[in-house]
Parts: sequence; structure tokens; C-alpha cells
Amino acid sequence: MDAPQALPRTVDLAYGAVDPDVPLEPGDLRYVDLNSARGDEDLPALIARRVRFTSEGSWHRQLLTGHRGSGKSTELKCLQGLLDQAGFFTVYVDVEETLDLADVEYLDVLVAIARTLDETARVRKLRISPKLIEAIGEWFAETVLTKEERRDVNLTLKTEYGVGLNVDMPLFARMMAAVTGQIRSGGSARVETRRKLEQRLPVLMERLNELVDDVSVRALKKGYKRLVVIADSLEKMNLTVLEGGQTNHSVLFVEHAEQLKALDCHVVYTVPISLLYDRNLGAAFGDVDVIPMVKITEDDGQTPCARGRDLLFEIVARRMDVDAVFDSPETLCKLVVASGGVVRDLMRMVRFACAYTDDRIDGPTAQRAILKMVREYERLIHREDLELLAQVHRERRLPGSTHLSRLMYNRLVLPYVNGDRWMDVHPAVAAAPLFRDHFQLERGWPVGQAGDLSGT
Amino acid sequence: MSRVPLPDLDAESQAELAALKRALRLADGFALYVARANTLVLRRQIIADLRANLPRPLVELTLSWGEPPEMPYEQIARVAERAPAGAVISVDGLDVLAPSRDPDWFLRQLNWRRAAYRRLARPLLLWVPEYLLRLMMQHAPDFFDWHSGFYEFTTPETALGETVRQAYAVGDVEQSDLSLAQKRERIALLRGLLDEYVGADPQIRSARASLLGKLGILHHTLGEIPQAIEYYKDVLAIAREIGDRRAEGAGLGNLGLAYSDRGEVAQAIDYYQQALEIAREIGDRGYEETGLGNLGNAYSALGETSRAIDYYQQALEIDQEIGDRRGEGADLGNLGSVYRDLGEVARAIDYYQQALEIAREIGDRRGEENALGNLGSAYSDLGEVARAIDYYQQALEIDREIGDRRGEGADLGNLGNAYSALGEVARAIDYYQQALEIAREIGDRRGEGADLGNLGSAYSDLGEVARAIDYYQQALEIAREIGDRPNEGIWAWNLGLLHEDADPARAAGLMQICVDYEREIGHPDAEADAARVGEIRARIRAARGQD
Repeated sequence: MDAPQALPRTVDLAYGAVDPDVPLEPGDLRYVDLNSARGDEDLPALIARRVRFTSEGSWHRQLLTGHRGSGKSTELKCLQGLLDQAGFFTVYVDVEETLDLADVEYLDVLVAIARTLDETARVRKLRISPKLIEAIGEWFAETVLTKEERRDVNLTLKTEYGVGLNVDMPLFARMMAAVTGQIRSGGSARVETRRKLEQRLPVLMERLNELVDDVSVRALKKGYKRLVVIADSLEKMNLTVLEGGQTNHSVLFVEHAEQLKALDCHVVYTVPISLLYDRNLGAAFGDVDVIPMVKITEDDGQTPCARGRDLLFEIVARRMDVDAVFDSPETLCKLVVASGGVVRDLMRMVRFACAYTDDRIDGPTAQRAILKMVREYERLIHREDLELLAQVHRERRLPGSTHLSRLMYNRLVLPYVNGDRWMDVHPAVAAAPLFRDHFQLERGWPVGQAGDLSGT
Repeated sequence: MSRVPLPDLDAESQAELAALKRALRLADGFALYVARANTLVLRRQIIADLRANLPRPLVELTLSWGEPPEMPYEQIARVAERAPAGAVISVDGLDVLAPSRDPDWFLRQLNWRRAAYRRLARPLLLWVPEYLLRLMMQHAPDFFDWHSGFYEFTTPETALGETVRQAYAVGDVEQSDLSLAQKRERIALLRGLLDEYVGADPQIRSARASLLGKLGILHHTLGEIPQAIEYYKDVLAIAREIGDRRAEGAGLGNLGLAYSDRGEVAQAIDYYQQALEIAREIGDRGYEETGLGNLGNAYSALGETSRAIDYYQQALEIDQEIGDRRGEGADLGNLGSVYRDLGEVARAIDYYQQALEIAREIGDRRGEENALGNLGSAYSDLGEVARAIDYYQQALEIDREIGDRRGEGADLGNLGNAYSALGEVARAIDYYQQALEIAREIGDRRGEGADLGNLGSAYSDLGEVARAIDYYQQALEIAREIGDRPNEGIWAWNLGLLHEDADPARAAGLMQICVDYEREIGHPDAEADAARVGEIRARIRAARGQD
């Protein structure tokens, strides 16, 4: 490809070029389309098609997941763009901005959606029936807030709940800010708010749908197609394993699937990767899509996937002059293989390597960066995980265990797709001495050298 | 730039330091660097080296422990705003905040504020010990995943020696007199040091057990009983593994004290008995005496006074035999307290006077203070409040002199009780408030609960029901939080009484908590109190019938 400007040619300059924290906007020249190595699915296009082809009177509701750093937010932005183009009225709910991701329940999610619906409608100059909005606002206030709190909403907003709230906000917005503020504040206020809402759940759902319906009708009148809600950031919620082995993730999306699906509109929720192999989730929600990792091998775990490796190589090559920064392309290839197809880990290893030398990145420097990552991942392996990790590594299939949720959450196990879903442990796990010793002992294999990842 | 800084560092750590310097030099805008160093001494050395050799300014921030606690982000953001252009912010003290409270909660907050950290647009260097690093990776993966570099430093022998010296510079008893902030810092110091003691070598295991014991005691003095119990159990496991009977006995004894503070007296007795057996087995009379004294306290708490007296007498005999005058004084004091519980106040005073004489004879200020406080309580029982106040004042003076903050708080509470008995409620409230301040300062949750409860009673006497309810409610919450069953019962009962007219159902529910506990331990008041709750319930039913 043509470089738009001179690419970094030294490790010092390259260091800044592989900042994994900066997500790419659509149209960025550094963007590499990874679909062909992720199972050939263009997920945003696929989901947009499903929404378009859903027949009148029914709704498309689905979940989307992927590991940290798999490009979820980019794909969701892309989806929103496609739906906007197709004429839908899309509402993007960033739960991270509204709720406390350390402790999220379905009621909070519903309240966050109501709040964002109203905000988006106002921003897009869609006038919701004032009577309706007032009635709903009052219902929330009466249900959740005490008489004094209601009276004080005006006065206390700034100090108690306020991150720069506008006092000129309409009453409904103020009430909703107060309600989400109570949820976000934590402690007994949160518990109490949920209890009050839960007691009147059927009415809550009715009121929410009145709001949804009104927004939908007014959007239709303005020439939009149907309403689509995209709820992002829910995958970042904290993982807690509850008594009995169930996780808080599973409680939210499996046990309360009915409420989350009860809105009269199309909805896409992002969900934590730990749920991908929750056997009950499929029954609760029809479609669960995953943004898989870029394949570095085929599903036998041996045959190199040239396409995937090339694309990962390309990601680095669009950010720096590989020939000038690395002593040879093979050195970069080593890092590519060690990344397991996790783009963020690849960038991070290149960064590590840049910090380890004043000169070009050579074999030993790359090896050092790899070892660094291996040590990082090794800390996440618990002894009691070893058996399960070995099984995943051996069979590259789901062993059907809920215990997998933490391993997924901590990225010890990675999902891949080629037609079918398969999985393997992160190469850094495979190279960790703790795991290698266990795995090879189990199989009666000779113990190899720790950190050697070039065996595939 | 000097090529070989910090000659003590091993080659691996030197390479890490070089890489860290390069990274900090190259960082542009927001970047998160995590450096693992288990001891403060080592961190200080590396930071000094960075400051001298980096081509950009470095601003140091040590996170502080506040009330209400301020999240790391708020503290970092404030410093970042004022820092000179291009400065790296080096953040230490996460370990002072994290080992206490609920580490999960703290780490989740870190996770959640991830986006906010980005907006600071500055390189951050976070110092963590190994244990916190692992917690971060497991529980704050979204945050940790954003790091641009992660560097590991091994503590060299010199820094390790210095840290060990600091760890043992403060004795176990002195630990309880430290301020809350000092205790937190100490916990971080010991916890980081613990990460240095890994391995199966018995000597390492033994050092580890000793650190775990200190950590347990620190959490214990902070009223953080569950954490204390966890540490004591770790001590016990290691002691048994390496066959250290003495450490095993200490672990058992401390576990007994912790369970006793939680009101689980039967469990405590079980531990004390085991500790006593070990003391007898290894023939350590001092240990044996401690075990007997603890058993006496436990049976005294259960109201089994004759048994308590028996244990105290045995303890006394041993102390007289081995010539432990200080212990003898303590035993006499304990005997006095049992007789005081039995209503034999004159006899109690006699014992307290003997204890006081011994303490003065051997110059044991703590013992003297204890005896004076006890005498105050005894005269208070006799209704000689003025005399009681005089004794409490003397005790207070000694506590202030020797810097025993916990004792000072207890004296102030006693003075409050005395003035309350004289009907000088305003003065009593003033003393309770002072006691409350001290309890909060030294992080004595149990004392804080007692002071809040006393304030509740005082305002109840003044007829300020709303305020009384508020204080009792706070006291009740603390008792629940620290698992203090006896006080949970007392505050719930008092709170129930105040709700009786307005909300009898609620009152009955609260008072039942007290009844349940009393029945569980076989307290003599249990049935009378149960009957009282029964009356309230009957009234509720009758009222319903009328509707």
C-alpha cells in the first residue's frame, strides 16, 4: 500500500505508533479489515441485514460479544452507521457513562435506556408527547424518590448527582438523572431504588414501552424507519461468581432475558465474553454473535493460517517501517504468532520490544517481549484451572463448563471462527511454565523450553 | 545519564529500569505504566534515580487515606492538573488503600474509572506490590489491559533488610497505639514484605508466619475481624506445617480473641483450650497463664462466673509461682471484675486495690491505669459517682501520658457514663463526642460503635428521639459490619424501644435480634426479653383484629 506519510523508522518513533489505546475511526488508513481471518463474517453488515429483514410487528433482539480489544466498539459504530444509512432511528446507550459497572442489574439497564431515549429524542428534535413524558417522569419519581427528594430534585442535582447537569433540563431528564444517580451512588440507596422498581415491575415495563412507542411513532412520522437501541459497554461489567457457581453476568442476561427483550423495538446488547458458552443464554436470546480473534493457525492448532498472520503483520506494517525497525520480518512474525490474534497484545509486545533496545528489534529482544507477556498471563492462571486449560488446548473445543467464564473474562482462552467456532488457550498461556509442565506431564511429552512459541 | 544506577539491583532489574526510562522518555499523552516493587525502600531508590536521570519532570503522589475515602482518580486528577507540562505522575500508596476495606470494591472502582484516567492525558506510573498486581489483573482487567508497559523489580538484600528492620521496629502491643493512617501504612509495608517471603524453606515459612501474625493483629486492632481471622488461620497453618508449637499456640490464642470479639464465645473457648494444651505440652508457664486468663474472660462473658473465677485463680497461682507481678496484677483485676458482675462490689474494690498497689510498686503504668478505671466503675456501681469520676480522671491522665489512645477513648466513654448518671447529659455528650473522635482517628470500629450507641442513649434521655434513633442506627450498622453480635443485640434492642409506639412491628423485629442472640449464648435475660417482645406482638395482633 502507499504510505500516506513517512513511516517511523526507529524504535523511538515506532514506540508512539503502536499505542493500543487509540481506537481507529472509520476511514483511517491504518485500518485493516480482519474479517477474512475471523471467519469471513462482516458482523455489522450481518446484524444490519437481520434488522432490515425482520418483518413488521416483530423485533430483532440479539447479543454481541468479544474479548477486550477485539474491536467491539469499532464494529458497533460501524453498525450504527449502517442502520442510520438505512433510515433507522438508532439510539446508542453507553452504559459506562450512566451506570456503575461494578454492580449492574437489569433494572438499571432499563432505566439507562429510558434516560437515553429521552435525551436522544431531544437532541434529534423529536418531540415526545409532553403529557406522556410528564406522566412517566412522575411515575418514576413517585416510585423511587421520597417526597422530600422530589421537592429537592432541583436543588440537589448539582451537588449530589451532578456531573455538569444542566439546570434548565426538562423535569423528566432531571428525574431520570436523580434516579440513575441513586443507582450509581451505590449502597443502600441503590438497593432501595431497585426494590421499589421491582415491586412494580409490570407497570415499569408498561411505562417504558409507552415511551418506546411514542418515540417510534414520532420517528416514523419524521420519515425514519423503526427504532433500534444499541446498548454498549455492558461487557465491561465486573465478573462476580455467586454462590452456586452462577455468575452475575448470567443472572443479568439469562435470568432477566425476558425483561431485556420486552421493549417494543430492535435491540442489540453487548455482553461479557464469559457468557459466550453459557448454555442457557442461547435459549434466552436467539442470536449471540461473537467477534472472534484473528486466526494464526487453523483449528487443528498446527497448520499456520497464512491469511491471519499476514493481516496482523500488515497492522504493524501500516504503523512503522518494518524493515527499518526490525532486524528481519521473521522477528515480527514471531510476535504475530505469540499474540494469538489479539491485536492489543501484538501492539503491546511491539511496544515492549521498542523499550528494550536502542537499536533494531532483533530475535532476543522480541523473545524478551514475549516472555514479558508470558509472565503476565501466567499470573492469571490458577492451579485449579490447569486441567480445564489443558483440555481446551488438547481438544480446541468447548468442554461445556461454566467454570470457563473466568478464563474467558481474563482472556486465557480465545475464541476463533472458521465456519464453526473453536477455541484455544492464549499462546502466552501455552508457553507459561506452570501450564507447560502440567500439559506435558499429562501427555507424557518431553518438556520443551519455556517461552518458545515458534513450534506451531 | 548514568549507565549503571542503583548498583544493588540485579541485572534483570537493571534492564527493566533501563526499559522503564526509555518508555517514560518516549511516552506522549496518556500512558499507563505499572511497576512492581514490593518494598517502599526500593521504590524510593528507583524514583530518586528516575528523577535524576529522566529528561522530563516527575511529580510524586502518595495516595492518602481520608474520611470519607477519596478515590485514587480524584487525588491523581488534582495533582495532574497542577503538574508542570510534560510531567510524569508517579503514584504510590495504592497498597495503603487496597488491603483494607473491600479490595474488590476498590479495584472495581479502578476498573470503572478507566475512561476518566485517559482524559488526564499524562503518563502515569503506578507502583504496586505483587499481591496488588495480581488483584488488579484479575479484578480490574479492563484497567490493567490498558497498560503501556509493566516492569518488575526484585528487592535487593539491602532494601529488604531495611524493610525488615522497619517491620520489627514496632512491637505487637505498640501497634494498637498507632494512628489509623500509620496502621494502614504498616499493613502495606508488611503485606509487601510478605510477597518477598515465598518458598518452601522452613526459615522463610517461619518469617512468613511472623509477618502474617503482625498483619492479623493490625487488622484486629482496626476492628477488621474477618481479615484478622484469615491471617491468624494462615499463621496456624504454617505453624503446623513447620511444627512450630509456640507459633501454633499464639495463632490459636489470637483466633480465640478474634472470635470472642465477634461474640462467638463458644468458638473462642475451643481455641483457647487448644492453645492451653499446647502451652502445657511445651511447658511454657507464661503461655499457660495467658490461656487461663483468656478462658476466664470467655466464661465471664458467658455469665459462668464460678468457672471464670476458677480460671483466674489458676492464672494467679502461676503468676505468683513464676513471679510475674504484672500478670498477677492483671489476674487480680479480672477477679475483681467477676465479683463486680456478681454484685460483690466491696470485694471487687479490694481486688482492684491490690492490683493498683502492685502496678505502682513495679511502675506498670498500663496496669495502674487499668486498676484506676476499674475502681471508677466499681464506685460508680455503688452510686459514688463523684469518686468514680475522680478515678476515671486519674486513668485518663495516665493514658494521655503514655499515649494509649484506645485507653483514652475508654476513659472518656466512662466519664460520659458517669456524668450521664449524674443527669449532666450535655456534659456526657461532650465526653462521648471526644471518645468518638479518638475511635475514628485510630480506626477502632468497636469503640466507635460503643460511643455512637452511648450518644444514642444520651439523646434518648434528652427526649431527642430522632437523633437517638440516628445514633443507634449507626451503632447497629457498625456492630453488624464488624460482626459484633453482643452489641448488635444491645443497639437493636434500644432502637426497637424507640420505635415501639410509632412502628411496633419494626420494634419487635429489632428487639428479636437481641433475644435470638441471648438465647443462643444462654443469657439469663433471654426469656424475660422474649416475653417483652411477645407482648408487643400481641398488641400488634390485637390492633389488627380491631381493623
